[in-house]
Amino acid sequence: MKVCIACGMPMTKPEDYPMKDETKGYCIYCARSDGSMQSFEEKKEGMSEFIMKTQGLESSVAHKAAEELMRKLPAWEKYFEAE
Amino acid sequence: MKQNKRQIQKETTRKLILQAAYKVYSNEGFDAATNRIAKEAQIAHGSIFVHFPTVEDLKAGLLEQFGMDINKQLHELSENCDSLEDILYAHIEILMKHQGFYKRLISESSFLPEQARYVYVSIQSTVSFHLSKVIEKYQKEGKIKMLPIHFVFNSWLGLLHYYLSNEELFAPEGSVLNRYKEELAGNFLKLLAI
Ligand SMILES: [Zn+2]
Repeated sequence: MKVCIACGMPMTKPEDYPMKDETKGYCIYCARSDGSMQSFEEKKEGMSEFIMKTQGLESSVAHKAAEELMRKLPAWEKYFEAE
Repeated sequence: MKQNKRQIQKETTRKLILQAAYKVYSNEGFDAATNRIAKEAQIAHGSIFVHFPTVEDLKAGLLEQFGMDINKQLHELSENCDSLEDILYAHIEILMKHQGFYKRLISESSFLPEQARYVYVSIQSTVSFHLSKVIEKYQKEGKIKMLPIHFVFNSWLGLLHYYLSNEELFAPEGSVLNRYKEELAGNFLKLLAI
């Protein structure tokens, strides 16, 4: 099963891909409106917002959680290499 | 991807350790000793640390694997259900499958190493992702109250976790979720309904 390189979501149907383009490695939630992949900062902000909105976590905890989640995803590897 | 024999062997042992850890932690809690896990996996104690340098790494690795399994199962189950009721039942069904481990996870999550605690957040994110999509849709359609999504989600989790962590009070024999799933999901929906 294909999993989004930028957020880890399983991608099982055309609707999961940006513009239904199944050749893409990232999902519709990790794409900008033009179909390109979001930047590290955009994704981190989006994920933190999502965690706060749906789970109510405190802002700094949500940001840390988003970063830890991204650490394990292939799309963001180079952002953590220096550590 | 082509893997050589040694890589396959390594991957197999890693899986074996994770399976054993899942079983031992489910039964004995997260403070169970690693030699219990080695015994369960029928491997030498030292080989655990070849794959996971520290016990923190093992716990985080196990939670990650657990998170991926839940993610996949929930995605599959919610594929064909667009009603809130279906999603609630799908959630309960997955928790029932992992009840022993999940109970440990919620009752001992504050004792987990920091790294593993963020994995716990990401596991709940998988659930909140599927739930929030339906909640937003229902709110737009005027079917349920306009409560904040995190409040709806946390109320649902709180309810499940309360029954789970007091299982012996609600269902001394058998699975508490199996016994109360209709009551919990049904009444939760009624609370939300307009
Ligand atoms: Zn994605």
